[in-house]
Amino acid sequence: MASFGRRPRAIGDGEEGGGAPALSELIGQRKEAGEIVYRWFRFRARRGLGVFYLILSFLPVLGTIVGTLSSSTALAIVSASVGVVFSWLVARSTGLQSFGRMRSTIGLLKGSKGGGGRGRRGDALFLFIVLWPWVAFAWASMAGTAPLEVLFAVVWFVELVAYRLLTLRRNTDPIVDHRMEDWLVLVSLPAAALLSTVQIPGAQQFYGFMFLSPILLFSGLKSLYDAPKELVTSIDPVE
Amino acid sequence: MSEGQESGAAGRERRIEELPSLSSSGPLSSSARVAILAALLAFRRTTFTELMLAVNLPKSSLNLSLAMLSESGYVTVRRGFIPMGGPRTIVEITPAGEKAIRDHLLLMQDLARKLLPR
Repeated sequence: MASFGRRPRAIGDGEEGGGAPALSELIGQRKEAGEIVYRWFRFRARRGLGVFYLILSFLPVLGTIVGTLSSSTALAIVSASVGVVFSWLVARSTGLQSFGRMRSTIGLLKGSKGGGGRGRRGDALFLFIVLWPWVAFAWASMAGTAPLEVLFAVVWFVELVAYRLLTLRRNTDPIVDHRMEDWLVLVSLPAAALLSTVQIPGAQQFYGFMFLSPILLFSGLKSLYDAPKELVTSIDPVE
Repeated sequence: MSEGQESGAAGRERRIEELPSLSSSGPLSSSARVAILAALLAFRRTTFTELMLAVNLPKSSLNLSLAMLSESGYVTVRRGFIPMGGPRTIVEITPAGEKAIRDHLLLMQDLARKLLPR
């Protein structure tokens, strides 16, 4: 049976009726919709990361001010932690939210009903890898045990590098691809922690964290600059 | 699993047969509108400006698409205030819209499986 040459509809074409479309046209429609959604999610995630890094870039400066005014290490660490949580909350409102729901929607578009489970486990593992050495380092710093500080900073650094190497080939996260600027930020945290354990004459211990500011500023600006490009990047996410 | 969804091969088969006619007209007949609803499934709400950028449609076409979705009860369009962004036109998905797009995507999955058996 010949088909009667129904013109394929363009994206966003809103005409009504005109008979049932071919089934393959419906599959094509799903694919087009999937591509739009996929690009949109990547844009949101990149923009959210940009804002997150930019807000975070002020924290080392604020931390230095707090540290200069007060000699309490505990106060400095608590201030930094409050700052990170505050930045996270702000970033959520600008796009770093609903990662789970984004993955679930992509799962629906790709054809898997469950969606998101493996991604969430990956996120939890990643957060664990990033956070536990930070907590351990903060504890060692407050306790004033310099060898443990160095140990946890080194463990932190090695963990991140190892995670990066192990996941380099199978980085298939549909929403956030870990880019150079993301890893620069991540690796600079333990590097700053390590630097802060070095005694520099005339400088206080927390000054080591100051060099995070330009790195975070650069990464934030680059992410914000790159975010709109995600909307026009050619991709092939939905089979 | 969404409410009222039929289970079993027969029910799925019947819904797949209905899909072409459902998708030939109505709010889910264009990929842009499907994309808008699918994205809103994750974000819940967005602004008109972001929609225009993301879906890459002219303002008039986007207005038509949103009017169609709004008339079907799938989205609400209202003026609102965004912190650090000022007054904006906000598009928000409704529970009916969530159900409709979820059912539509699940049907499309079944259709794809039927057409591309493995």
